Amino acid sequence: MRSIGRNIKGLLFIAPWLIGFLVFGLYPMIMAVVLAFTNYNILQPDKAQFNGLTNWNTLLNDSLFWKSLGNTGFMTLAGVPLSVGLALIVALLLNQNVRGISFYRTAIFLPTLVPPMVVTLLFLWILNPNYGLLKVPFDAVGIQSPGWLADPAYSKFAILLMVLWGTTGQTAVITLAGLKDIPRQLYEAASIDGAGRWSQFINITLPSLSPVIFYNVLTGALFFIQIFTQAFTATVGGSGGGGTGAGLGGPVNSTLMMSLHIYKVAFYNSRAGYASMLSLVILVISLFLALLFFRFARRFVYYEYSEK
Amino acid sequence: MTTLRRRTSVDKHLLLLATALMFLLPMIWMLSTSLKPKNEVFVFPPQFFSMPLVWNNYPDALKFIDFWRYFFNTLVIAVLSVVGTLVSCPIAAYGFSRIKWGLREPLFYVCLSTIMLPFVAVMVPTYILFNQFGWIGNMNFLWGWGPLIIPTFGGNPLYIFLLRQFFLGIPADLTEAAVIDGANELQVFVRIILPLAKPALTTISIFAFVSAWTDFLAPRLFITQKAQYTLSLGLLDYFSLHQTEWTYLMAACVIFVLPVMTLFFFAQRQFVEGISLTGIKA
Repeated sequence: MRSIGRNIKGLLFIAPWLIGFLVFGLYPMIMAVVLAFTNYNILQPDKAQFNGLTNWNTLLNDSLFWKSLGNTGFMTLAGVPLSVGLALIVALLLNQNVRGISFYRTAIFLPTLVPPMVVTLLFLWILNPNYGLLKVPFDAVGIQSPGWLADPAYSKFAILLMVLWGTTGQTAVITLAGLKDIPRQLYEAASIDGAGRWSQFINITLPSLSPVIFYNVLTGALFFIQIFTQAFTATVGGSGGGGTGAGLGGPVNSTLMMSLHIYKVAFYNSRAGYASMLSLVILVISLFLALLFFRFARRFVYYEYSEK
Repeated sequence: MTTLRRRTSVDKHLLLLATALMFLLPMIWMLSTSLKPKNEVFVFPPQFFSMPLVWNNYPDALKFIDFWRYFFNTLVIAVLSVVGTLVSCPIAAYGFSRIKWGLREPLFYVCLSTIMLPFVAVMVPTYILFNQFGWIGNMNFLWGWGPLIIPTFGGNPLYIFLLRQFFLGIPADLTEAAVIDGANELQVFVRIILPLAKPALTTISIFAFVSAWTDFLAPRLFITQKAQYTLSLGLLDYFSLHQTEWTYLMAACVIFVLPVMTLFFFAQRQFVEGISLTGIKA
């Protein structure tokens, strides 16, 4: 009987979260799965009917879906190593013992406080092919500046650039905290044994940092799979804010991310059923990521208890 | 054996300064553009600051769109999100850490796993749900903002996780004495744990405020009445013009960023420590 009482007490305490999870987490997730097999239309919800695998077949033949999968895949595969690597380099720089280091740390962290919306608008201006700030270094070496967001060959790099500027500070601070946790004695022992700096980095720093790097990789992947604001604003802003959504994901669909495709299908074409099928793809990918996360988390929890 | 030359202090500073500049320059450029006369915006190569600075860009920019309304909307939403977070997260974290009960661990794993649930994958059904609630396009501001505010009262798994870590670190002796004196669980939570957890509560409040202040996707999806727009949405008004007024847009961006920057300079430690915690203990 006591254990029932304890469970009730525990449940009461976590009730706000539990209700929130059931209503705003679990229910939409189940809905996504159900809707994926219907022709649900946001404007005519009463006429929704199950349509079997129709949406799945549509997806297989939807060239824009494959395009968006490729775009999101590119952003993730390029963005995650770049952001994690850049953060590691910055963290190593910030881990040096020099005076005034907090000034540098603040400077590098500040961009993470800028709303993604503002980051995008700011970079629309910096990457302006005719008057933007980034044209200066290209002019200095006498190379034609790329058209960035106007050129399908460079538009994804433009978005990568703004994302990296806006998020590296945060990833670097996480990495830096990991660096500070590495016991000094490890390095002292290694240098007595005659290990050089590079060898210390490979044999001590990287292995000790692996949980943090793994965490950064996972959260980075989760971020890039969902990337929306930058791609949305960059193309709305550039096209004068048209109301039809035709310009979204441009030029030539080179920035049409999966999130943007779902958004267009659901809210511009009103095809919520098909959009849910598209959502399932993201759901399955992130489920896979979550499994990875837990394999890793279990190992890490073990670490923590063994310390105490 | 190769020996690496030990870098001098000057070298280190130069490298750090160059890195810091890369991160600062875009912001300086934003400030510089916001203070330029209109005819100098399209001068190339650009000058960073040319005298006299055009401070008038600021009042002009803010008149151009309904800036203060959007600013105020964003502020109300952010503050109410903090309230929601503070109501829901600490109590859940307490249930997940300082009460022993059988279902605790499995449910906590469920809670943790929702950190990995991508919002983009459920945005369409979530929209449909909020539409059924009658929140989408509701002329009443509190209901219209419901989709942004009400879910915060259901807690955020990352914040619950951070608080739980903090609560686990509070020694059991501190609460045992109170229990012997006849205090019930709720009293222990309110009188002992909450006061001790102030630093952690500050951290999650800051996180909740900043994330509400800077969010774009959720407002874009759920807020359809222009009078209820947040700043992130309102800024797009500058593009409705024939030609983008970069001076105005940048001035508005500066004001938009200012509250978060101010918060940062007052609570730098909580920011940095909170962010470090998310990575290390996860």
